[in-house]
Amino acid sequence: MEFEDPIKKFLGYISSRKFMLPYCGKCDKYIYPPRNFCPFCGSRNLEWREISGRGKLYAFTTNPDPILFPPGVLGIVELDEGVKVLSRIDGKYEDLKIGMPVRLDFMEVTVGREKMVVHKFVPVKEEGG
Amino acid sequence: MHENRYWVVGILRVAIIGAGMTPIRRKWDRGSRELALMAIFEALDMAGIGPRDINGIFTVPQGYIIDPEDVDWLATQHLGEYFFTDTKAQAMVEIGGVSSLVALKYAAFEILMGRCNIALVYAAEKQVVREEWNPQRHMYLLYLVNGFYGPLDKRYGIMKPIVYYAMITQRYMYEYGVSREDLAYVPVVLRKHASMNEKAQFRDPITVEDVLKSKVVCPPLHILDCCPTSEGAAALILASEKVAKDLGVDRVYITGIGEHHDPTSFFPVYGSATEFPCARKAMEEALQKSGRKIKDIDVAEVYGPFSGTEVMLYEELGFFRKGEAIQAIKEDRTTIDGEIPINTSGGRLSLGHPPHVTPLAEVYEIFLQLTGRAGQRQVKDAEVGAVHAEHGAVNGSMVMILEKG
Repeated sequence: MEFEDPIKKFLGYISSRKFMLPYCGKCDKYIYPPRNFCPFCGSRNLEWREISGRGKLYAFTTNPDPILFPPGVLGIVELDEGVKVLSRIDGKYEDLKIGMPVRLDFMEVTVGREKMVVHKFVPVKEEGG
Repeated sequence: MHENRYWVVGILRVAIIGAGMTPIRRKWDRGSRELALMAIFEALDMAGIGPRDINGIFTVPQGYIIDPEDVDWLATQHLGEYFFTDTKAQAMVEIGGVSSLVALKYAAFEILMGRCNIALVYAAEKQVVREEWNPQRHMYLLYLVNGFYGPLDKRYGIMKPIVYYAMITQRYMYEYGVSREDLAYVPVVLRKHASMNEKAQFRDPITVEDVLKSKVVCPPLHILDCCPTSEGAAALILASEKVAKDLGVDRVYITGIGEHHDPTSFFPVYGSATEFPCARKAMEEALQKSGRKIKDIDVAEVYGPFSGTEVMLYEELGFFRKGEAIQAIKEDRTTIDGEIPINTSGGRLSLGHPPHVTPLAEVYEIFLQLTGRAGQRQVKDAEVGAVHAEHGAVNGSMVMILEKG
């Protein structure tokens, strides 16, 4: 059977600085980690869509072992699309707050021996703030 | 679809007739095999039998961050030869932190099926510590442990699950109004228990202030909120009810087993990070199988490698209502003479935490409690105990109900 690995496809998009996710029109759900079927209804009829890039900081901490990846904040972002993803977060731990709005960006890093692009999120100043 | 409606309480009744455990330490000057034998012979002596009486051997890997010298993927075969005993079943089981409890489950089922009369379940764990680190010999371990976090998260260089535990804890504190100082009572109470356990890795009392002043490892978690790096071994001898009665030794029965794995890996993508459905479901199933209620449990061992999830698990397992466990801990209601003594061994933070050994170390503690062997930390009239283990960052859980024979 033909099988296109959705994780590989996702990472391919990330390396060209695009954050795309499979989307199930029947359930109106975005799928993460990327799968070749909808985990809610089982449909294989999925469409890759680019996310809005907006989300809220759900939880965060600092990287305790900056061996393969540079030191800094790691966090979980709840995307407007309704999924939570792990990401590097820009900013100092002390300045960040749960619930603060963040926007998508990308960075180039060397993880171990491999040079790669990863997504990161940057805090956004709230309107009027 | 997954419900078992045909269960009859009483079907599951497998005896534990011997238990052994080495002291838990940061570093042992003995290899994994020697540690295993120390624990195994303690358990055999307690059961009053010899190695050739064993006809089933069940174990787990010797750790993750481990020197090749201590790795033995054919450990059961080698032990079967050493014991010079014919066996009807052998297995090495691996599924993270619940591994040795799954090995125990498998052994119990082989006894129930009548395939094994007397089974050995053991775990021995080693760790490569900082001063032993040799880049040439151990470099691959970095990539091996990084791989636990899956193809997406591993790209952020995660090496230890504490990253997830820290975020789960932060979110729990935020949602339930738990302060940093509140959380510090968890390690303090566990240390109080460990001070009465000569096999515990850390026994000197600590205060809330000590916890707050200790180094921040992964905020909000300080080093005293964390389990240490540990080595050690534990072993259990299982037998059918009939064999146990014929031997006439002190025994504890496994009467309930619950197991549930949520469809998550480390951080829940769709659900809440402050709820552990797997723990709730595993406890519910174990209670249902044994015909017991949560109120019947006299003493419990809970798998909490960090203070935050320890508190959360007391709630998810049903000992306290959501958001109320921390108050109970502060009021000493989880200590040896409290309403529900939990982690009388000292728990993962103070007993020490070799993760592959921990579930058996927990059963060892409950075995001591239910057979009246727990000395200074004996819970009075303890007859029903519970053991919990989890894997990932509480992505899956197992619970066993143990009862005095």
